[in-house]
Amino acid sequence: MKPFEFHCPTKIICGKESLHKLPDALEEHSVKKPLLVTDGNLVKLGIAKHVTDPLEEANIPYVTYDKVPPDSSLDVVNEVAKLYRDNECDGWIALGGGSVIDTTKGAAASISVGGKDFATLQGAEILKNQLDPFIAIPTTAGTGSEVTLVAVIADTQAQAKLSYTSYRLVPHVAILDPALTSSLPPRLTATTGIDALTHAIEAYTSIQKNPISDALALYAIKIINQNLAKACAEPGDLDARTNLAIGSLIAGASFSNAMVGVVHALGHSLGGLCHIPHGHAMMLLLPHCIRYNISHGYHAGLYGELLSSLCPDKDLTGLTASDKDHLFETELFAINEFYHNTYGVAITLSELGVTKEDLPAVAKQARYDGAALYNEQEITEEVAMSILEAAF
Amino acid sequence: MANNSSQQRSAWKRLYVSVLMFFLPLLLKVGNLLSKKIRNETTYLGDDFSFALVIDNYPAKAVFKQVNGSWKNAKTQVLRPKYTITFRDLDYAYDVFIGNMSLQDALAARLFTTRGPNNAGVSITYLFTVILKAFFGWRKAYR
Repeated sequence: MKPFEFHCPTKIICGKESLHKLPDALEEHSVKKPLLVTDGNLVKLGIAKHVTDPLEEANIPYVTYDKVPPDSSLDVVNEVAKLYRDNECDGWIALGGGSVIDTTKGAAASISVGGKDFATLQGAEILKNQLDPFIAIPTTAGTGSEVTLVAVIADTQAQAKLSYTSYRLVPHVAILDPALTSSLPPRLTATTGIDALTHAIEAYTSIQKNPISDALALYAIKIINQNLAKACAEPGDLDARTNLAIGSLIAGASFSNAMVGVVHALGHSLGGLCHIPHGHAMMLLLPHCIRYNISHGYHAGLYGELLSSLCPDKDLTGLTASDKDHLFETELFAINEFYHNTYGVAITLSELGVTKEDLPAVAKQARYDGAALYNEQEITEEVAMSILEAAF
Repeated sequence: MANNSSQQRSAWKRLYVSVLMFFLPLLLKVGNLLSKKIRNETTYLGDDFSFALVIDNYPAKAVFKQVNGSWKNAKTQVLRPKYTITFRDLDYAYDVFIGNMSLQDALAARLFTTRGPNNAGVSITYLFTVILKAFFGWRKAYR
């Protein structure tokens, strides 16, 4: 067996009304004045109140930053860090999707090294100091950022998504409360859910895969696929929402310790250059990347191993490993078709306004994306182009 | 006896890694002349790009700088390289430099840390993989 490391120190608080435990979680970490980082929409929709109410009831003073945009940038990270310093806060609460949680990670990392510009901290495992107590409260079930060592931040000048990795970036506490995701519309539920599914699938085929990340990936795929359609059809189904949040978290723990590959390399590049939302990019790229890999004999047999998690009721007797690989690919295309036909989710790049002329630059940037390193096969520009053209 | 053998092995590793680090800039320069793949990565990284290769708790260090499309030893000229790869242990660096382990496997096992822009790190990895494969393509780690 190849040597590996596995790290997931996050305390997980999950279930209906679990946000009532927020004051206890802060006290446990001796936080007296947290900075709540969120986005304007969550305040407007009243979702932030689920967090601020328990704080106010417990008389915990807090400062709020509610201007994190969907694709956060290095400037926002530095602004949040400044607010934290200026107000002498001593802990972090990140309430939102991946953009909010990753922005907060960036600001927390910057504070941990004395307020340095986050842009100078790119690399892997360069943070040596512990972050101040960090509580992540996801409002989408997709990124898994509440348990990962990754922060993805946009460099708006370079039109690129930068990924930062460090064990220090793993939040101390994750609170999964289904009340926060029940108002998520079906399209967003679908694309973020497929993002989580992609994490699990790519973790299972990454060069850094290990027995623990594999076990988590298998379970995540099962629980996500069992609950995604249900959560889209009945947004208020709290059981489905909770299961989806757990699936996303488990997929996050898996890929945080195994990393991802070609789907994410292309997705980051589409996000940076064409501003395609991350979950949506994952959804439309995933089956095409897997079709490419299978047709070139990459990860032979591995995709088939995931089939019983993706479709537990399917009779697989008599199928060869190759049959199972192909069936897995077919099922992923069918999932996309389902969300396209039922909820109108775009499943081609052209539907999202990407032009043929955009593709070469996307392919070049994907070749040099951090995720490309963890893909077993080198991602040449030709490989990237052929996948992008198929997804066009 | 076990200690003795371990010390001898360690001395050989120190010597091997030090000599290799000394000659690496030259290898890179020659590789740049012979391989289109290396030239492509050199072009991608751009003129004036510098990077360092260091090992935790070990004095040997290699610093490379690109000048006019070629690589030079810049140990005494570059104080802050744009990218740094730090092996966590001498044994890990030895395993990679002798072809016991591929660079990809070393990355998967988190045997080194990096500082600097990701895209540069990816390009340097492609570049070193070509060099290491050229020398150790016959070894199990690269087959």
